[in-house]
Amino acid sequence: MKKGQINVGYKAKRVAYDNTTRLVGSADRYSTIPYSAIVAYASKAAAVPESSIEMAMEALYDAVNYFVLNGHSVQIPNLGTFSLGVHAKSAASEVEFSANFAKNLKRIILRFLPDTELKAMLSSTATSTHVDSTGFKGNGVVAVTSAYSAVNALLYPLNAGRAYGAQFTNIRLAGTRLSKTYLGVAPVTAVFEKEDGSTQQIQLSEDYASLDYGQINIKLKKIFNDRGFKGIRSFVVRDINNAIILQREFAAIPAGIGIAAIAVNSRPTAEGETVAYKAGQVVEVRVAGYSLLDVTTIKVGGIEVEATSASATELRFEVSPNSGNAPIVLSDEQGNEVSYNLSFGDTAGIVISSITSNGMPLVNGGTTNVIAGQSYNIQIAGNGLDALVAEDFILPAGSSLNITSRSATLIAATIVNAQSGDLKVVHDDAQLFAAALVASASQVSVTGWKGSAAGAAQSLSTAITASTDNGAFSGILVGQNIEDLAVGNFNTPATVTGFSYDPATGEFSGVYTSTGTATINIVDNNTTVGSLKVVRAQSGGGAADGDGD
Amino acid sequence: MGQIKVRGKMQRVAVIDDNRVLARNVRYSTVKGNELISYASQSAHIAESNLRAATLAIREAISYFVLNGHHVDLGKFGIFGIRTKTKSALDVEQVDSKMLRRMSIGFTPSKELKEAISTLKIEAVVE
Repeated sequence: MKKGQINVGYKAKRVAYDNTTRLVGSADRYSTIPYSAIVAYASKAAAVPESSIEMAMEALYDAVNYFVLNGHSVQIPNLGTFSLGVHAKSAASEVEFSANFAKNLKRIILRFLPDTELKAMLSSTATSTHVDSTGFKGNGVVAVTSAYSAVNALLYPLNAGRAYGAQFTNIRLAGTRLSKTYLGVAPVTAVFEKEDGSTQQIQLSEDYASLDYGQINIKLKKIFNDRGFKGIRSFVVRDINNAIILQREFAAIPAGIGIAAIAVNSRPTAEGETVAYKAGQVVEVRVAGYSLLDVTTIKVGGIEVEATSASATELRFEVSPNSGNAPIVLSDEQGNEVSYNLSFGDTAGIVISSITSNGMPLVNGGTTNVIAGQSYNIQIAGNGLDALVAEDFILPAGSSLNITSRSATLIAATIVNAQSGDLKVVHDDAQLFAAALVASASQVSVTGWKGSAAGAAQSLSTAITASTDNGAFSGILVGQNIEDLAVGNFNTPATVTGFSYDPATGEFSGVYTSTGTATINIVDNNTTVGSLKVVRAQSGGGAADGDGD
Repeated sequence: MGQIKVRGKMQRVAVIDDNRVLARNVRYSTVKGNELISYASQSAHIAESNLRAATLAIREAISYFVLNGHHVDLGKFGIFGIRTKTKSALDVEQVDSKMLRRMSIGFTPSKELKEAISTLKIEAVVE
């Protein structure tokens, strides 16, 4: 007997006694196996004709009926014991009990107590849990901890009042509980600027805004390409209760050159802030903006500097700044001039100005979600970083940090096998940076599949039968967030060809070119979230159901 | 038609801190598996071996289907299925397998059995 597998789903339900909405679990209920199928199964398993099984069941029923309804407990071998029980109101005295018995009797129940072997099987049954995503509206606090725009993987802050145009590939929002469960299907509404200067508001569907537990990705470049917009003017993110959790407004796209955002030493800056540096240190400045190939003059604090590289959307240069206010001013041949206010503060010792993980900022003192066991590329920006040693990086147990390159201003590293716990950078007993890493499970869970005909969902342990003629098979995936999967998430063996998957409907199909059983593993974020087994009998024989785990 | 006796017995009820007469059905002996098989075999003229094979096979069927999340219809007996008791959670992050407190095999009697129970003759006795 193979070990069973029970999936327990948690669904938001109103709890009356404390007036809250809570996630309450119950076993996923698959189809009810009809009596005829049980008789057929038992007939094959015991090599007894179906008619004998049915006669035996009738005889057992009659016997149980007779004994139980006359006050006995009845034990059915290998199955369990049936007995009666009574629910009745209590009485103050024997006299009252006898007098009001008929009135006080509420109901008679038939109890079933499974036998010890069945109980033992139950205790060894594997369980898995998942959360039903049909809308948990409880105390789910949704938070956006940072909002950035990305150009060529470098992160720029979304400075309010600045213009963000078609050169920006994406807007990324980092935070917690940014999945559909908390935000709904299309939580982002954005206003875009057309070529003629007019605006259009759009509620972004999943084609344009992907939702993850810790990240929202607004696919600006795709929107600009599809709709022919010139830039974005504002966006609003709402939670599932329609409350605004983040709102940003930007300026109209200017004529000529423009600065949208600036990063110093690979650290995004907010306009007007003071950037820490060491006197005499050379800092690298990256400017994101418009028509930057037209820039003829770059001045930092009134001192002219030369660009080291330039494109229409990004300009880089190095400067050894003086302490104090040093606005960055760009100008072109037509006399257009744009500026961005920054100050530089001379700082002794070690300063960590930012740490990014896979391009997303870790928030000092905040919480960051990681997938347990995965690796993350880390960039640490600041001053005096060459003084840091490996022992200064304290990671959660089981995690490790590999430093791949370092300078006084930038350390590139990888967190390997990230786990839950605190990431700290401590030097000479002074804590320079700390962030809590919280394991975030894969948001995709596959619980079963349906046959090509409409019907009850099958468990994953029920194999899909491929046609014995050409090996073709098809089905519909059942589970949570399966629309996030693509064909690339299915590890199909070489014996399965032409595999296809439609995320919108969960429909999959393919051809199994061999016989026996093939396993297709479904992998999301390096985690196997389920596997489908395809069975094909020898040509000419009947197709058989598999019973894989 | 069956008949059962319900006995009233004075007992301490903690929640109301008082003595009350509570109802309990009088339970006679437990009919053991072997006795049931013998009785069913004689009354329905079926070989005991067939009855034993049938009960074993039915158990196999129940354990295979029920322990994989299905409910099983056992005809005149009723429907067997998994029941769970879990702790509730206020947010998604708290949900894990440790919240599963207990699993049991639940049983819902068939319509025939319920009707048979509803026609029971009940006699009240006081100790």
